Amino acid sequence: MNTHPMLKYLKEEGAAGPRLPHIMCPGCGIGQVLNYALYAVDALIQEDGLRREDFVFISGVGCSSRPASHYLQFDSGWTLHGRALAVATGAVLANPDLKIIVFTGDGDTAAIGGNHFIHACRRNLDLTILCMNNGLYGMTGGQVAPTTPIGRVTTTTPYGNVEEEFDLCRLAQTAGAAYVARWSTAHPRQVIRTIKKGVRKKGTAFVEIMSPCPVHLKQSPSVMFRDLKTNTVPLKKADTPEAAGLIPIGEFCDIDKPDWISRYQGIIDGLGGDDGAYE
Amino acid sequence: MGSVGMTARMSSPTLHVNVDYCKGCLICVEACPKGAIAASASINAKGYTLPEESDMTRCNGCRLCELVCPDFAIAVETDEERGAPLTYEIRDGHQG
Repeated sequence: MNTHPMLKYLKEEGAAGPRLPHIMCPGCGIGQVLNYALYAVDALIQEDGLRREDFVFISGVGCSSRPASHYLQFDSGWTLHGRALAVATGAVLANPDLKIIVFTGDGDTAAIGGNHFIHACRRNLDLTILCMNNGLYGMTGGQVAPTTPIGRVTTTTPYGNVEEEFDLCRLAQTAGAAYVARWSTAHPRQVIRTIKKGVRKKGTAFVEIMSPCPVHLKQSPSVMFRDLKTNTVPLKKADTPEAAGLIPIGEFCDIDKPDWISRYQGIIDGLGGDDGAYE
Repeated sequence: MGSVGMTARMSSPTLHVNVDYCKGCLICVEACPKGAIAASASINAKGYTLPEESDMTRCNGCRLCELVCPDFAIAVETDEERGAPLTYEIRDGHQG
């Protein structure tokens, strides 16, 4: 093809004129994650016979939330800052057959939406959460975030960050998510495979994708792409001395357990009631 | 005994860059495992450096450039997609 294969899922023209090129800065990892998510959705449509209407994309506020709100030719919701998971909870309870993919950032997940995040994981709702983690607040000017590594210089930590960062994957795993994985934007095929697995998983799938912010970290996108390959280590080698200071990547957990809807349906069936739908 | 064989040879894939969508991050150049893409001397209307084909005979059609492009701006077109016929090359067989 002489155009990009994933443009069929994007709105190139909107009511107010052309929508592409999108608003993200040159080399931003969010564009790449959007690309990987569309490849995964494309594969699911072809392999599992899903339809475009079966997918719903929900996002909060921030750079990472922009794709779901502006560019996708899918049903999508652009919600309040940090509250994407609250709206997604409502959507999955209203129609459990939907494949809900949440686009969220580290600020959305770990800071303002931290409580929604742990409770969505705890309830094991049938959601797929894609968290693009760039380790700072990108949209507001590169300030320190709960996910900023120790020592990183940001606009509000000019001498380096002194706080320890959240490990979102360990947090999701402890909170009870059924499937947890971390990759980076420099691992495209692994990200696509993981998103497919996450959507097929009955229960909460949390996928953290380390994503570069070339503007606020003041590096070239090519160098950051290369660094994400060398600064990461497979999870099974994460305890070795050579792995000190590297980011562990891979599947943190993959558990089969009943999701919220299955448990609730069990109660309805046990009481001999109807399916709960209003007549 | 000598033998004569025939090799089907595909001509190289073609690289398409959407100059309006490309933002010149050049991640495609970094990601290409074969070194078939390079930064060009040309810029688009917004001043971004565009990638170009450097040696597409090296391209094996892995499409990693399409996969990693954040801006949906690059595409690889193979002969099959273009509907171009295969060319055949007669080669002399080696001594059996």
